[in-house]
Amino acid sequence: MASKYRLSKPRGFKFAHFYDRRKSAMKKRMTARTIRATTMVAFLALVVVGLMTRLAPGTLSSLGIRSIALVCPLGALEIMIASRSVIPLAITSLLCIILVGLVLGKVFCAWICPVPLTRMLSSQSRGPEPEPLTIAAIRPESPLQPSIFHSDRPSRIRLDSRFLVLLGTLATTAVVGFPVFCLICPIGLTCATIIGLWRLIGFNEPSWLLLVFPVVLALELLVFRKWCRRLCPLGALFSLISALNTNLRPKVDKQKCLRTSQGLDCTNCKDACCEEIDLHHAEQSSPLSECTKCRDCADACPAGAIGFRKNAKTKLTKTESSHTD
Amino acid sequence: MDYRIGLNRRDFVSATGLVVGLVSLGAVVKLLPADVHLIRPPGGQDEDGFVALCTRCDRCRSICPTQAIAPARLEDGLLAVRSPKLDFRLGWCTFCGRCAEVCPTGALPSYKAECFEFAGLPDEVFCKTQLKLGVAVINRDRCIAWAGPSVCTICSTKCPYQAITLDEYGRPLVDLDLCNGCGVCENLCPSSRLLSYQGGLRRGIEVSALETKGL
Repeated sequence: MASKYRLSKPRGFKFAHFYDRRKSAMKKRMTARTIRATTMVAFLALVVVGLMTRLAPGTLSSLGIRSIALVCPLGALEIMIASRSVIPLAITSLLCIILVGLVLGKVFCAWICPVPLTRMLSSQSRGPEPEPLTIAAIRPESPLQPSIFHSDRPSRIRLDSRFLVLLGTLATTAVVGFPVFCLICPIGLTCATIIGLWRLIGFNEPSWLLLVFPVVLALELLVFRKWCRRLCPLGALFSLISALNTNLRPKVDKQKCLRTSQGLDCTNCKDACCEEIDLHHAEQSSPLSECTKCRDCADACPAGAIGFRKNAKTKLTKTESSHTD
Repeated sequence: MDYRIGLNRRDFVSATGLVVGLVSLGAVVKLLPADVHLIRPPGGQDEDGFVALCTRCDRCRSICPTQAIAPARLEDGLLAVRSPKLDFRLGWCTFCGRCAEVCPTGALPSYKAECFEFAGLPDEVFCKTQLKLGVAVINRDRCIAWAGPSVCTICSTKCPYQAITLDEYGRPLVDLDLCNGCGVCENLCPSSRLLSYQGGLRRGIEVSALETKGL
């Protein structure tokens, strides 16, 4: 196993083999991002399907077929508070979303919500690729602190500023009697802008919303920055549910990881994570309930040491051990 | 499971700012009276109940077979924006109940309807319900029959609910009890086309929301 990463090449700092692996990992990362961008665009495209046909698939506010629908969990809470009534489809939607959250965690945030698309676009225009990693750069001067991994148990819940916004949203909704966050929800504004453009072109219905909504969106996503991590009340709800998700989590294969197997100071997985999860330092990390399963860490890992399935690690170690035997 | 507060000052400030923004937005929307009376799809006539339940998901607009449902624009009010309204220039309401069927939140509750065929509009099936979307009002300055010597009986012959009768001079009158605001008359009224040289977009007969019935 160790021979795979032995620093056998005497010439130069560039660790050629390592660099190749990283380059292929970068390629893979592009595809993972591309798949995510595709699913996000596909969900947005449902809006266009609703505009072109009479199938009424709905928007992300509530998706459905005929009389069956999945209402946005925040919207479901808001309308039940605003109307002070129990709404059957809102309850079933909440239950379904809790079930999905138990199995897949906060997967909505990285695979369905259109907001990260803006982040993807802005990060792509950020300039050239970083310099290839060199062994010299990540060889620590003193031995590394031993890694403290996240536990396999349900993760802790971090009550952060998003929960403040969530509470504020629900309280305001109770007072004013209508779902107030829906008016500024970036997902809703995105869908509304698409619909507004369609109405302008197809029905000659110009509206100020075509100017106002994009400006509000830009304010929320560019001026506030880090909307997802600091402010999004929908993300806060998903984090609550995701705490109990233990089967789909990033896991480090200690025998492959450059930190644990070679003592190198590689922080690619930590640097790639937009939720500030550090797989190697559980104390300083965001809780695993914040993981959106975006796979950026797995794709950034030069050694391919990060997997998401519950038994991925053990399977790998079994095959490795059978090789060494 | 241990709980931890992860709140630094900067995050706290931006979150508080957003909540303050939400509260003031809610207050402004609630306190400013909406001066536009929108005509909602059938079942959404209780405006307060409707805005409490509508998530603006666009499903009713998509399914409407006559495309009479349009998304409200910003000009229709901050509270209404993105929610469904009826635009009888685009279509009319047959009370088919499809919008209520797809509405996930009950903002448009489902209703009982008895459907019938109407000889005046053979391609459509209309339904009789207890609901009233609004009421048709004749704009006497724009109505061909009221304004001039010409004769036009389109609204009275095409009304599926026989709510429009003609007076002794052949001018249309709306029976407020029979009219349920289905919008066929407004949709078919030719006055804005016939009077296009006079300018103006108002038609000879238009459906008003129930609150403005007295006007």
